[in-house]
Amino acid sequence: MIEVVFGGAELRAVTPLLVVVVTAMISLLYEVFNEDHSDPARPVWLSLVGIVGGIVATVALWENGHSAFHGTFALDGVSAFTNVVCLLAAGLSLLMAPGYLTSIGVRAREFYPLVLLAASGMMVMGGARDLIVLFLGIEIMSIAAYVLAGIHRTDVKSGEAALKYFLLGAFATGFLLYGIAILYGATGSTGYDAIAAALPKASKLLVLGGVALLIVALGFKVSAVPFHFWAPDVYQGAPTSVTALMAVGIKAAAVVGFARLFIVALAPLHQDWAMVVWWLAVLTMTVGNVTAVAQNNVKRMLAYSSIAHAGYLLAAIVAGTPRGGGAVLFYLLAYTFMNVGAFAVVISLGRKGEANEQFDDYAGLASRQPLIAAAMVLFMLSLTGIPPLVGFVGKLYLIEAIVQAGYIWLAVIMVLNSAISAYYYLRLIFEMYMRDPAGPASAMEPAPLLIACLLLATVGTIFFGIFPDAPLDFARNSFLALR
Amino acid sequence: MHPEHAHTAAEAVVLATSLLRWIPLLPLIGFGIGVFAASTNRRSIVHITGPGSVLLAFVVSVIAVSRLWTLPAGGAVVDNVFTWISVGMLHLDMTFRVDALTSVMILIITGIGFLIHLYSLGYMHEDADEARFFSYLNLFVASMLVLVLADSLPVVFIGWEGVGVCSYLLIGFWYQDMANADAGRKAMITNRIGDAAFLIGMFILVWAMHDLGAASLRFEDLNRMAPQLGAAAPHLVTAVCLLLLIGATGKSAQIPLYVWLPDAMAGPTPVSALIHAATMVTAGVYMIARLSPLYVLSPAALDVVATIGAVTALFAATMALVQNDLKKILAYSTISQIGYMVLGVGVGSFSGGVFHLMTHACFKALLFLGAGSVMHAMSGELDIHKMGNLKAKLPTTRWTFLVGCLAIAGVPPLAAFFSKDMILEAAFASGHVVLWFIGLTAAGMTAFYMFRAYFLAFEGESRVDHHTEHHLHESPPPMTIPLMVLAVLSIVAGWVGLPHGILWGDAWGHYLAPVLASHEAHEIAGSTVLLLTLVTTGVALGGIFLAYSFYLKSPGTADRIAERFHGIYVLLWNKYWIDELYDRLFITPYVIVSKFFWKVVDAMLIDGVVNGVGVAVGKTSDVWRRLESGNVQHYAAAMLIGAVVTCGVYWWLA
Repeated sequence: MIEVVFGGAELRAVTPLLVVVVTAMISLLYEVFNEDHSDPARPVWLSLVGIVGGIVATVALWENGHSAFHGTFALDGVSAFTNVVCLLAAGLSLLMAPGYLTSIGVRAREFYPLVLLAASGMMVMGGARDLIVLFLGIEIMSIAAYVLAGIHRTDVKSGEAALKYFLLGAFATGFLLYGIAILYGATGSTGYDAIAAALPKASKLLVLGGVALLIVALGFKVSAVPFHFWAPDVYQGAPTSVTALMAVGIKAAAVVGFARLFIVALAPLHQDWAMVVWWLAVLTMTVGNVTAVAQNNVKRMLAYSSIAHAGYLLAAIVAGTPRGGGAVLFYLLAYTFMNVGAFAVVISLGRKGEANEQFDDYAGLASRQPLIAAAMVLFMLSLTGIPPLVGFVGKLYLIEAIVQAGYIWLAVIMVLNSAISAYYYLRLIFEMYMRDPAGPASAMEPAPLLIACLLLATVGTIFFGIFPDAPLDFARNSFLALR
Repeated sequence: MHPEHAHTAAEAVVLATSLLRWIPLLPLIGFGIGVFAASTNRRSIVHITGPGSVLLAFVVSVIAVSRLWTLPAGGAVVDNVFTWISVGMLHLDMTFRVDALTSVMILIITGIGFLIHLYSLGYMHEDADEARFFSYLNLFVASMLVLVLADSLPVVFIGWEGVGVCSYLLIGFWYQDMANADAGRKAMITNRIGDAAFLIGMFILVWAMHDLGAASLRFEDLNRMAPQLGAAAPHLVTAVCLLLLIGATGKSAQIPLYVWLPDAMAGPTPVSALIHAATMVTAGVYMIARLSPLYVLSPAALDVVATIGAVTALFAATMALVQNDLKKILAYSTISQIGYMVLGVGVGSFSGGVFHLMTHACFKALLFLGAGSVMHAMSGELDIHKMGNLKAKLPTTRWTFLVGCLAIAGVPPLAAFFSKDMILEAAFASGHVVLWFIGLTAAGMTAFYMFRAYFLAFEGESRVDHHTEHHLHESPPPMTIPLMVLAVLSIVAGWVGLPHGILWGDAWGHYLAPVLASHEAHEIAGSTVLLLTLVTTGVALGGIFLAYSFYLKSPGTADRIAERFHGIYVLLWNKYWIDELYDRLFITPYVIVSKFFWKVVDAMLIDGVVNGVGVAVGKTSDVWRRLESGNVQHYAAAMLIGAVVTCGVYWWLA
């Protein structure tokens, strides 16, 4: 029998969530009664309070080894790190939103609470220590994300993106639930610790069947090949600020969910799942990088780049070690700064009626917008993995963990993939600096909040590249404490 | 040369403080402001931030050194700024450390560096690129400070590369003139050759340390482990010492990598002063002194060091004899004087080498800034044959320059008298009589060529042309004040290291003793010391007298001698054709090999493969892009196929 408990541990676990969700509710109600729509930036401030409050609560309350609700949910190091990364991603997406949404004619004020709700789903995924809680988190996040993808209601592409994302997402949820059911049938539990304990005695056929379906479902969420087809269409069709949230926050939550489930609950089966995930990682990074080469749309290129990065992250999960998990967490932080930064640059070039997302639109950007072009160079170099930027350090520790676990070939393939990725990242730099501008100099200045977003992303990209110690140690210790 | 002598105070008292980071940080901030100022029109801000940041660094250095002096001998002040690299067994901190040796270096760098900055205020006054100049100058000082404050070889290497880059930037400062840009490149490339050897030496060292179970490149660990290293792999130690020596010959302009320094005067004169006196060229000597516990383990390597030093001292001095360009004379004299320092550390007198480094910093800065002052007055003319009797118009420059000449010649009781004597005495006492004699000969030549320059430029009849004569004027106070300060320093700097038994004796040696390896002291009789001193002084005075009689008393003697020994004169005038020799021996074959690699290996083989791969990836990309049909049914089908394959694999496994 399950007895209902709600004590100090439970309160501690849900406080950051409550802060974010309650802020979302207040924000939603406020927009219902608020008639004054003159300042598009106003709803951002309220939402930012929720974001900052969530981060503060997380930092104040987390503890390693923490567990609540009968061990189904925890605010330990891993989920604290995930909370911070996801809230950071949500916060940065919020910062780039108001000017952009106004410029493309989106007046929907529910955008802001929806971002917060999606973030709360991510937080649930990061702390889930039970398959049902993981499922809950995924659904809370996904439903908000489906709506967000289609928030540009008058745009056909946005609607198409939302519908595709929803249909395929529902399809993936089927796999997820079925996988959970099979695993429950095999082990008699949905809790991670109980599953790990029951695995040696469980029927191998049933267990592996469940694992296969979970790989499919989570593979869909992290956009692993061949479950990735939705990603380019959805990323390109959704409003860019939503794309940034999807490419960074949703991916981070899904990867952490993946990592915690496989590294903790399925640790005894490491040999078995590692083989399939190995191939998944290799396919994902290769298809992502190779396909990105032929893209002419920057947003779509970033979508494929995001698929490739999912491959890198899966590769470190293959290692199956706490060191690999720590490297994954750190890389998610790194990826948040450099990728959100790249999307912020894409947004800053968009105008009403013209998205300016083609590579040709970036020709000669360095002479028109020298600072924004310089920031883009930074993000592209960091995504390529050039020191001393954060992308380099992140990739370095991913590879270190992979090599340490003995997967030398995986590391080699990853390095070769990085070489391919240099082509399309540097191509953008080439466009910006080596080609003459196509059109006349544009006089439009980016919105102040967007500048703040760019600035934060730039500082993060440089700062954590030079001083990676604190978050890296934290991430590693968090995964070590799980065992 | 026994390992047991190599112990330094390993368990020394250490004072932790976050003060030290500000020493390199302040000039670095000055650099940042300078870069910013250069791109705006508020350039005059560098007049304050340029010299000011170095002055503040000097103040912080003084505070740091005063803290050091409160500690017992062998103590150190350290500042652990952050963990730089932590991979596997290798843990590397960005740590700064001030001990006795570093305290000397930072005071020289910031003190003399500040005077040079101050002087530059006057010197660069009319240059439009002032802000860029001061920002580079600040960066130069910051790099050099990192080099000497570092507590491990890799951090030294940051500064080592930093000064290399700055020298390139500053030597080619007036890059619109191709010759200047070439000189900058020459400095860079020559230094790179040394740097490569330095890096290889460092890699071998960390590998050897790893074998002993302590993969560390911290000086503390290196010096502590040195005896074991020497016992475990004596040849390896020799190899490392020689590789690091090659690195030192690049930075410190010794044979065979000295060729960049004479060309380095292409930069503005304050830069030459900074390179020659306070920063770059001392790096090699500093590095050898810093690693003295390692070097004493390899007598063979030390002998090479000593020989290179002595030969360079003589070789450069002979070339200086016939130069007519005032700055070139000084450039060769620097090579020669650094040769003395290298000779000093090579014969085991590490404190003597650093002592000469310190005194040389004072008088060489003085001489270069004096030359700059002359150049300023002469509208850029530097040929000493076109000067003469400048004392009438440039009294301050003349007096200070004279002090500099007396100091470098080794006339008692000025600076180099003590420091050069200490080195020559150590060379004699350690049994390197041949090297001692070479050093002695070079000392005579030094006195001769410096006074040749002095007599031709400042005394005798004026040979200045009319137009220039009209403009002759003493330099403004920002330029003359540093000259006067440096002149005083050039007089008194040597007094800290008197011979044994006189007043406070060798206070210098005692101060540095805890951080340098103690070499087996060769006691020589007091009477011998006195005799050696008399001989050295006699040779110096003889050189001056010779210059006097050649160029002042009976002008024309020099030409007659040049006529009689025409062959030697031509040889010296052409600097032994070393540049041409290097060109034939290295550069031409290198260009041929490069062309082969470019046209055949690179353009045909590598580009073929790379382009082939690129095309293949591009084609694949095009095909894979078409898979993305936009049709949601296809996507779901792909997922289903993926799921079936995954399940199938597991079904087959289970």
